[in-house]
Amino acid sequence: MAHDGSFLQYRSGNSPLHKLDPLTKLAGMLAFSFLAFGTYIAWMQSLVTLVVLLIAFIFGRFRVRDLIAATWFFGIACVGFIVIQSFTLPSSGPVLFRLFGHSFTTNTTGYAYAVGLRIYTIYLVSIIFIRTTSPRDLAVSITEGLKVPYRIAYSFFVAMRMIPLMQEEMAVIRAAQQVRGMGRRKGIRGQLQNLRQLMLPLLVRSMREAGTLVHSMESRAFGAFPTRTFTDVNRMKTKGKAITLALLALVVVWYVLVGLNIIHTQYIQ
Amino acid sequence: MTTITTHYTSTQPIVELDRVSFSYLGSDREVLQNVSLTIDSGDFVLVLGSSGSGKSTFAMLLNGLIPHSIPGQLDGTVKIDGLLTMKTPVHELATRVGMVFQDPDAQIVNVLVQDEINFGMENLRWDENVIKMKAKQAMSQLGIEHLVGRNVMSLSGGQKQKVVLASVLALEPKILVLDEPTANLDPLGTKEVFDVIGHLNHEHNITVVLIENRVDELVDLVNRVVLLENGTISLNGPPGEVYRKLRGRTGLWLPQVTEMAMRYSSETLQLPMTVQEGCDFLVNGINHLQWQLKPEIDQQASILKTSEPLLEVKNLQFQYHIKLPLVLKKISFKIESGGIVAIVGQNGSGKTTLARLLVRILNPPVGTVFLNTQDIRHLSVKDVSSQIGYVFQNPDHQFVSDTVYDELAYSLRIHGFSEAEVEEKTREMILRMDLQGKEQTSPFSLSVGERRRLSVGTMLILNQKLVILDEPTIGLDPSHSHALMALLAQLAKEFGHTMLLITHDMRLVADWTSHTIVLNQGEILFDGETREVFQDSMLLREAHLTEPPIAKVVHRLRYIVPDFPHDIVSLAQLERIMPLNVQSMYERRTDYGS
Amino acid sequence: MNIILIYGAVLVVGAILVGIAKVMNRGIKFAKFSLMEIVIMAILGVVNGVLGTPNAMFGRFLMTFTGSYGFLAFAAITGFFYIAGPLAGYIVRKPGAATMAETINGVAQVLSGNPNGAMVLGAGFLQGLMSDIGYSFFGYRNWGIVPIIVSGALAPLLQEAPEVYFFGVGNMGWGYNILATVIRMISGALYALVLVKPIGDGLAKAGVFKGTELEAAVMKQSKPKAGVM
Repeated sequence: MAHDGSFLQYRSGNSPLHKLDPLTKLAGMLAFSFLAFGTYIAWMQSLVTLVVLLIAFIFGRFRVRDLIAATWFFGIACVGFIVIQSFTLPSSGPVLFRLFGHSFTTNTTGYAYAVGLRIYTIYLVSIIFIRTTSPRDLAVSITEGLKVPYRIAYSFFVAMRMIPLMQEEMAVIRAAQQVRGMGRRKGIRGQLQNLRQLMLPLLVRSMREAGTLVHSMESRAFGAFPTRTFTDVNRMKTKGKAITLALLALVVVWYVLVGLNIIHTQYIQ
Repeated sequence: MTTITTHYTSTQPIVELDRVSFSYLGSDREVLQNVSLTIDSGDFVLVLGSSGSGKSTFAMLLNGLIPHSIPGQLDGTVKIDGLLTMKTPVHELATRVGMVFQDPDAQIVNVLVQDEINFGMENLRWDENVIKMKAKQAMSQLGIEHLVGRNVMSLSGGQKQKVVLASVLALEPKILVLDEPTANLDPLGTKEVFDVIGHLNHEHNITVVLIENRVDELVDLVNRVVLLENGTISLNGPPGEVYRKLRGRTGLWLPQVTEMAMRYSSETLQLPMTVQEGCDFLVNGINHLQWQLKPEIDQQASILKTSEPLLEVKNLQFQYHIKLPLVLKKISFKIESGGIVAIVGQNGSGKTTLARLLVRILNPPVGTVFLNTQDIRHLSVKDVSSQIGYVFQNPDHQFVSDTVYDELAYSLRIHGFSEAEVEEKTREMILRMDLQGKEQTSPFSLSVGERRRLSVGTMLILNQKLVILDEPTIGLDPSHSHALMALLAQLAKEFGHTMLLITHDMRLVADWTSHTIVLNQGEILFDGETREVFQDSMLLREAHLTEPPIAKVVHRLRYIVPDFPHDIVSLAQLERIMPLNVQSMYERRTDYGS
Repeated sequence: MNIILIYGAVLVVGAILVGIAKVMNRGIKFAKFSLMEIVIMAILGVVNGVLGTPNAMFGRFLMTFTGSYGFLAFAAITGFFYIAGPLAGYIVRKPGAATMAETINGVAQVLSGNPNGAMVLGAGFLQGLMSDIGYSFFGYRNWGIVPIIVSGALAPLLQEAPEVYFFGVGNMGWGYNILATVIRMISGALYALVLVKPIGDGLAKAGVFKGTELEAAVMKQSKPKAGVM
């Protein structure tokens, strides 16, 4: 049904990444996003991607098949992006090869490749994070670690939990409207109408449920005190702190090197 | 009779409401008006009321959600266990009153079972070790220790409600308030939940306030009934007393056995409620009257008609994905034109999937589903929708327009009717569905019953021959549900529509349908006359169905009156063999019952 | 470099708007959100996020196959990404509601695999903040169509900056970037106009916001008999 893989959800497991606390993983996600962000040169971007993939396979125990299933769509989009950009951007640098009367140059094609791969990498990092971090652990750690008020963190977690239900709901609404003989309209105006007709029933239902949910939470004393106990929390330990510090250092060093022009992250134009 | 003692041997009141009125913020209407009530410790109180009677507001008054979380104007006083709710913080009330709501999916906060059970205790900042200990206790009280570590989404409806109950029980409340906890459950889940609540009341002396529409399953448990109407308590007392006063009201919450007795006797003394009492009632009547049962004329012969079926399903097999198990396993059946046909079975038995295949929301394989002998795979989705209507479980899903009028006119306009025809047909349907005066209202702001009628109307407006209704009576109170079924029956009779009814409500099946299909794990266990379903105890057990009380009464009666017809499943059938005019005979005797 | 100038300009505009909002709303107190309000914001943010992710993928495709023009075409449908902010503001009617809903929208998009990754986090916050500023110009008292449009139109203003960098269109020049921003603002206004009031009022009429200010306002307008549940 709708929640079998069509939506990126947490998958329970026992890998080192699963056992790592959410804050460290969050730091990791941000660190690798920043590393990927700073690079417009092909070999560096490849390096970042390779490291991310290795982490996924070794520490996340991802299976190749699952990772492909989760990212193939993006892979194709990125390849398309690379091809188109190579054609359309102004050429510079030595010619790599010629195709369809177009000269592909190291700098331009390299740039296109790096940007395309960057998109894929950032997506990949998000996937690794979501698949290995339970929403509750995330909510708990941003409450304890980042001092986000627990009412907000928990409400967000609850809303996330509702996603699979909402997706089923959306499928049902679409089916119901199909039974009514409703087609999908085109154009911006049509798209707006489609959206409204999808969102209103979806929200009516979700908000009706939210009313019950809020009553259920408050009748169990949710929000009665400024703090609450969290049982079985995956807290940041020495290992997590060390990893976070190392990642931070890596990002800082990376950007300092870039800033001092010691390493080049852009092709010189 | 069952125990009606607690109420009289009053210990001490645990709930005291004194002239309570409440209106929501921004509304002048008092949802509750001048309500006064006391409930004693250990009571099992059943609260009856139609939608809009204020029963949910009443429930939220008991645990302090009103006034602490829900803004509005509250007058009068509410005392729980001696504490004024207005002056007691929510966290203190949470350890006295536990609250369970209708929809298990909507009220569960967490993903894992143990997180959900710990939830309230965590909010109260209890120590982690205490939490773990109390969680274990609560789970063993409800017999759900084996669910530790499970994802809540993977549980059945009954299990989910038990997890919610455990979460509430861990706080060791003295009172449980349950707002229609079984409305979304199938018969098995309902039984599980009621058993557990009864156990808690009996063994752990927890006071129970249960808001419910089902009365049959509760006759053995309840010792007090409260009827809420238009925000006031109109009746309050032991069940027998309240039911007696409900005599003559249409479609209200009477146990079927009581309703039966009322039809035959105008006496206002003790009324039977349980199956055994109902059996005694009939035995006394029959013995005393030495009354000859009329042989029943079989009126259900229509099923054996030999005409072409309206709908035929041949060897239909279906799975959502090649790696997932089969949802339907080579099922075949035929549906004749006219009348109401029931499809019953547990959640997950494949009922909804089957219905969706019939209207091509899902695509059946070629050569499996035939409408008027035509393979529906050869019809366009639009053609199918003009011949088969499908009323979704939740009417909200189907609304596409801003007003009731446009909602009904929608399909007509799509199918290219002239505006004059659209107007005529729409007006007619508004009358037929009793929605006059609501033409310009938004569908979403209608009441539950109105929304349901509107969704049925939209599915009949193209004069669809076959209409599939998925759980149409969920969320309706008995009078609305009766009215809807009467409407469907009338439409079937007068306009020749065929209704395919998916439902969990066995009393409804027995009362209104002649043909029933029982699905179990993707297979057809039974396909035939409705009355026969309830004769086969093996079948009932395998499909987890329960027979209506009247069928149970008749089965028990057979041990005493061997020649009594065994296949009576509804009051209407009983009346056919025991005409109502015997009532005068009953009135001479009042000493039936044990 | 052009990008730095664009950033600078955007920051200045943002700072001026925030300053005006602050001066206009001196003395306004931030009310505490009820749990229901928080959950409403969370749901709006999450629904927006989930529905927005396919939208973002669509945008990614547009840009893939039409290059820089895709960025402009995509700008036309970006209004949908901002909708949680104006809608939450309209329903909850308290300062900060739009910001919170949009931030949650950002988080939800990241967790549901938005192709733009962690960047969306910051974008969500900036969009919501600007939507809130839009309402604050009217002192959180006027809930007519104009504040809704302003709220929707302002949403993309600051968020444009990181996007410019990410999509690498900074070197397309001022004219191009201003055009992109204007298209986004029109898109934001249009989506807000078409979606916010009908959906907000529709939900209130359906009786799902019992006890909130919006429901009280809507119930006052409609006839008393429509209020019966």
